[in-house]
Amino acid sequence: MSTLRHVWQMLCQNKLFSAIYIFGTALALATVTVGAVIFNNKVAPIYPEYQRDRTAYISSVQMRSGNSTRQSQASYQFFRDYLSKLKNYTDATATYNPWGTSYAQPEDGSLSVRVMDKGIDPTFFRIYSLDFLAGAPFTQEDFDSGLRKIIITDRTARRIYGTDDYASLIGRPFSLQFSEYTVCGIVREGTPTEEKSFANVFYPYTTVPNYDHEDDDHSFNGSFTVIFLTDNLDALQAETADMVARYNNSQDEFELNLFDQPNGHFIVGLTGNAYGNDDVSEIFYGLGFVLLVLLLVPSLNLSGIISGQMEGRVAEMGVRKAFGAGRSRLLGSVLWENLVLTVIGGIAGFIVAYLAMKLGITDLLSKGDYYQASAVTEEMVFAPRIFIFTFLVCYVLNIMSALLPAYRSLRKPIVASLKA
Amino acid sequence: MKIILKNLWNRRGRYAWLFIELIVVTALAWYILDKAVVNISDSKMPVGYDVDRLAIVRVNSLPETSKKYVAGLDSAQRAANFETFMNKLRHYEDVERISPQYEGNLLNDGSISINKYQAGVAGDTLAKMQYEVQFCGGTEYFETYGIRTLPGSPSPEELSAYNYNPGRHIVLTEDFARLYWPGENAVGKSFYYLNGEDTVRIYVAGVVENVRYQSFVRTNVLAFGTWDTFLDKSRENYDVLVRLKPGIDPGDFAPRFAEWAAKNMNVGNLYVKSVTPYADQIYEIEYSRGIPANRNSQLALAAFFLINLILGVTGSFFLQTRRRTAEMGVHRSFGATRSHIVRMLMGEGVILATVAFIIGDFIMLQVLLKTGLDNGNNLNNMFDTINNWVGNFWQHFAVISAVVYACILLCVLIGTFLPAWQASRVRPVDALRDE
Repeated sequence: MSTLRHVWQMLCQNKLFSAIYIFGTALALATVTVGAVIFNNKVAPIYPEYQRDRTAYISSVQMRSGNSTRQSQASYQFFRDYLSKLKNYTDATATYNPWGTSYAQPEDGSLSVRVMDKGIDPTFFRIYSLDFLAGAPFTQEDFDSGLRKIIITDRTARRIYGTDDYASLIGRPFSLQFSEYTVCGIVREGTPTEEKSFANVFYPYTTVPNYDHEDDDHSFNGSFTVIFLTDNLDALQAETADMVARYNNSQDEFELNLFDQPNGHFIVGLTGNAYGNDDVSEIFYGLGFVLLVLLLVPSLNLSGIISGQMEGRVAEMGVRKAFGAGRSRLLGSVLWENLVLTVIGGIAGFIVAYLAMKLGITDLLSKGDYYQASAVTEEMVFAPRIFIFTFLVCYVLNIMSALLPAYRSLRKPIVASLKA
Repeated sequence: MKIILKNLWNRRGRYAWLFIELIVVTALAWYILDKAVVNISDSKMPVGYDVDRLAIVRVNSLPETSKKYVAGLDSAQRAANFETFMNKLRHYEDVERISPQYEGNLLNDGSISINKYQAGVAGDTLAKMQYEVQFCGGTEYFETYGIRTLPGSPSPEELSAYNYNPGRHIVLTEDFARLYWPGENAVGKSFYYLNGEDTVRIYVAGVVENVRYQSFVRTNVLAFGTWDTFLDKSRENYDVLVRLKPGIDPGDFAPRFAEWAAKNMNVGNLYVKSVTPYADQIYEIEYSRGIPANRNSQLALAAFFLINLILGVTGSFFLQTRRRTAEMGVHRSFGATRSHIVRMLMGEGVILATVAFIIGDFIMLQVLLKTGLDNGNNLNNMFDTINNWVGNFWQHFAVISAVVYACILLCVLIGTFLPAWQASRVRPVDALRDE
């Protein structure tokens, strides 16, 4: 309590320096928090990708034949005849990601609305926890029959139908590229940075003409991303590599290359790279360096300010030493005082970061689809790990900025301090 | 100047933190601004065609599952529908000319078909990879894009109407032609396309001014090959390049035309899927590749360091000027004006920043001599890059050093002004009384 009172007095006495201190800390914390949220969204479980730690992908397939090389996503045949027959996974799904853009036609005949569409199968709902606001997912029977059912997001529903009474939309017709579907479910929309699960509309890929023989010349190339849920990624990778080697040895016409896929979400999300084969340790060193630098520069600022302030408190320290206060006690007292200021700055920085993210700063700093707005939710910002990380950063910043100036200042002998 | 230097020397201990921070920020700002400045410079380079008044109309065919689908059309009927469709587009009031191409073959389109091949001049054992984009003959391609030809080459209209033999005739950009025939007119010359063990001889039909196939790629070495001598008019999808009349803004044209087309441009199974200003298309591709995100991140980081620098300078100088009240009073009593005090204090900041910048710049030079400078987006130096300041080490170093110094100096001037101004307001009597 006395520390808090002392800090308040210091704040009032030196308003300018306090403002600079708090502003500098808030700026550092806001920057680090925004970076942390962007990083967290890439790798940590967020809606609807809550099983990212068990998820692995194959999204790039290369087939070479003589001088001709074709590289693209996988084909349905490849998924059906080879990948789904692997053993080391719990669930496997294929998502159809058509090239080019798609448009939905509103019922009132107004201009077509650009949408991101994705063809899926029922296993998709076991891997990704889509939150149904109305209706239900299509069933295995619907999928097998090729029934033209469609699931749309809440944002799409508002754009196409102009209403948020989602229950009333179940059973309504929906025109996608002038093909008619029936709405069977409305889900909460995710964020476009979740490339593997994000779409505005989902339909069974069995409704897509020729989905199971897109390109017979290169039968493994197509428009599908294969997603596995697995508890043993290493075993799955080894099994896949073995399958590829057996296929290549069994014939001379084609050479298949999967670039060591499937890769786990952590690496794919971190590197932003389909193959996920960048050096992860290099990325961590880079991130660590950036974090160090983001803390070092404000620390130098704050050290300068604290150093200057300590000069003015030399006499106070001398008196306290004369009354028996040890160096470690005085040091601890100074660090505590500065920690309070740092925490005040940290809270301000967190609020600034939250407001900045709500205003769309993450869109400016992340790649994605130009026409999709990313929604920064409270779940992303107020994740416990973000809180803990921000607090740790406050603590480290405090130590880095206050320890050395305070230590140097307290080394002065009592007599010299009292003379000052 | 002597007083400034003396003051700095006398207070070297107090300015130590700030000095170290200036060196650190110089090095960091150098590293970050190098990438950002190259990124911005590359984005400002001309793409080689006229993006103003250019739009893309994407044409699609109704799927068989659509209620409006017209079944049983043969290729002749589809071709006739195509002609009707394109005539309607061509004669729309805002349109100057059009160039229909196969889907996914326009410049800068993310899905463009690019043919990388090794080409060697006869007798030259050095083969190189180059980009090739594809177009269809007889479609007014070059004049609609606004691509200009070099003297000695057929005009854009002549090049568009040329009787191409696909795979045998090619159009080159100026930089491509210069690679093989420096100082010569490349029109009519031939070279070789190496396709595995086959060697195919290709003839240069024309040479155009430099064009970049994507707005963020640093190479002007580009070839234009043909899919077909003439456009196949019975396909289901096309991307139509539209040159608008003078004074028409593509941003206004797009929604207006899309609305009109939804009612008036359904011919057979063909319909207008989307209408996009070309500049928007370019930005969309850049956005999906993270080009603006990288640039924004770099600028945000640079701004972060520079704002911290302003805070540090302001804080340090306020501290110092508070303790130098008596000194200011003495200066004033000896006749120094307020502006003299301001200039003196700001001068201290400038000298400090300059010395720290020289040290930081020197440190960066040692690092960069080993690691190299940022060279923009060129796919790991696979292709010949544009020859400008970015590729010349010393020019590049000088440009970025100047930018960094200007930023550091500006921050220091901003940071020192307020404390200096406040210090200059001290009344000599008050200052000397305190002393």
